[in-house]
Amino acid sequence: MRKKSLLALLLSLSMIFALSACGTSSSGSSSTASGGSSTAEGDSSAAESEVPSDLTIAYSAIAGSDLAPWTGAIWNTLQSECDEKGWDFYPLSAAGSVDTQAEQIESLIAQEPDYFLLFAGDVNMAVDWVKEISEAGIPVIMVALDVAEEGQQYVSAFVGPDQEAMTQKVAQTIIDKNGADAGLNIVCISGVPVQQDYIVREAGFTETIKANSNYTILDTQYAMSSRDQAKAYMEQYLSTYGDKIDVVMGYDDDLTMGAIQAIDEAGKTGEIQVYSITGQNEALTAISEGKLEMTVMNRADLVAKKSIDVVEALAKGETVEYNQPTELTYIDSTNIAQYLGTGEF
Amino acid sequence: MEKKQVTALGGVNYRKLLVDNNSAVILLILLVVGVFGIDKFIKTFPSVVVQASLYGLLAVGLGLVMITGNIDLSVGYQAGLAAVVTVMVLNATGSLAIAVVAALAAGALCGVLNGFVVTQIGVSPLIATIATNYIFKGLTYAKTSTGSYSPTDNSLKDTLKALYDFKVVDGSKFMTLTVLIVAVIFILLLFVLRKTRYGNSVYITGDNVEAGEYAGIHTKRVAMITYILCGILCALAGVFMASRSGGAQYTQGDGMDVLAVSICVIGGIKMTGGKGTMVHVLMGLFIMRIITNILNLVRVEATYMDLTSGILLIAVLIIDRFTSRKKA
Repeated sequence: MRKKSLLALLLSLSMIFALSACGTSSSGSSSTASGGSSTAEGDSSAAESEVPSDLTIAYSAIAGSDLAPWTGAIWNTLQSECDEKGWDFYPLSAAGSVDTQAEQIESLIAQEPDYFLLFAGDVNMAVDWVKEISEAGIPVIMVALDVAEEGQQYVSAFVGPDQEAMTQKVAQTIIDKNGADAGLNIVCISGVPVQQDYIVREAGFTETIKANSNYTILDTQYAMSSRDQAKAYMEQYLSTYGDKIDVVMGYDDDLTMGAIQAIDEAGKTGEIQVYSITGQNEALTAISEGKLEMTVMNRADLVAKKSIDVVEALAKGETVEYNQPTELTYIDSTNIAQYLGTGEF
Repeated sequence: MEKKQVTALGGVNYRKLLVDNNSAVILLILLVVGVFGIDKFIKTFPSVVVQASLYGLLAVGLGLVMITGNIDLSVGYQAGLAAVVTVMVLNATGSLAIAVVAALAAGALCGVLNGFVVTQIGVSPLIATIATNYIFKGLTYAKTSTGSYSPTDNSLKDTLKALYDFKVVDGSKFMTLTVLIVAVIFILLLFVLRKTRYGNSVYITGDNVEAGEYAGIHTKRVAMITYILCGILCALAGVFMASRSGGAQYTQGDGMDVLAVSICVIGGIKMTGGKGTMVHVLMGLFIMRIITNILNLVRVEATYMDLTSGILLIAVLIIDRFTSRKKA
């Protein structure tokens, strides 16, 4: 019997190391989506020099494909871009935990990469992280979310969408469409309360609504990146506020689709205006069916490709501008025909 | 059926030794694999020690509770709540010392609540501490719902951060204040459990409550004290977590309860109580941290850490079950 026990132990250990092997060989699926320029805006007048083919790129992300399709798409595109260039890619996902991310950053620094891509879960904690990475002599590029201002001195560039401007524009669209004095009631569904991208998106939306209209935001709930939970919150909103709800704002298409499903099931499609961001295919279809007013296509593959372009420019010795914004496309019923089916996922 | 007794050298039963100390064997294997098979393993080892110290405080506290035959599934959010209290009091008073004392007091109160519900009301420790975990989580969330809860000005933040960054030995990567404090607590508890009457009563409470009562031991009081000690140790971990992050975070206590249980069980603390030492906790702690470090170094996603911990935990429990049955 004891032999069996030891066998069980050895089997478990071998599984652990088999998993380890899986981790090193995973390549992720390549994103085939096209669209938008992905060139780093920098000083192209610098002398052209060869980019070394043996670069190692570390990537620390608050989430990969484990939490949301958008973060997974960045991960996969970075992987395929590095594979294409023959660079070693060292990615680690913290599965939503900033403490895990802090530990993983230490591990990645120890692996002495040539460049460090950081998609931080907390812009304030990231100040210490970028300082530490920079002091180890590794250039840092912020991906998707910038570091807090005091940390920017340690960072070479920030590549990503202006998340705040994105939701500001959605809010302004609602106001322009309905009039600033319409006294609309809005309910919101967000993702993870501690995740900085959601915090920034919420700030952009709520501040614009408060500053430019007499609308009321009745409630905001956090569905923790779960469509099912988003649907449950929408059902709760409908039973609590009933006909009071005029507008639903979803801070991620995946969550918004949960809300749309609840509205559909309650027979309220067309009575409530729904707005969203991300640019998922399902959301584009919902626009074409009249279930969603607007979404903002915020392509993860552009963020990843532009990050790699920045690395390439830095490796050539070029100077790059700090802000490297990625393109945002506002899609509604007027231009949906052009974009239907062009989402990344 | 052939039954071999492996007592070749000096009457020592090596097979029994191996099975009884399976955590030491796992640790040894991991160290060998790490040192000889994983690039940069030695270089990253100091950070393993520093990171282990935070989890160590939770595991030591929980280990004490488990030796009395109880469980505490609220350790993570006791630490999370203490991190919030640290920042709150630091903001209010500007004194780190007062903030630390307040956090430890909050931890002790959490321990009193757990101990009271379990020992005085008689609720199952599993259910009771799941319930209190929700309470502590709710209180933590009340202050961190917007992401993080930080000191109001930068000088206070620097003061808070200095605690975790403080190096006891200049230039040393792992001789930090946290590591030193955890080492002292380990040694102290090792001594208390082995050499004092209280330590003895902790084991008797876990091994056989009735026998303990007959022997004049106030087993409920012993259990209550271990819950309070556990709360204080979790609070200390919370103080260091806040110091490391420069504030309190909603996710700080998340998953720590299961991790602490895994550390204790993999190390060799028995779920049934009455067995295990601080050395077992230490071994479990390093097993878990080294696995995490190895998986990080070979770039496995964080989600697989849970899978790995689960597999290892099941393996240890299987071994534990078979060996316990044999002894019975």
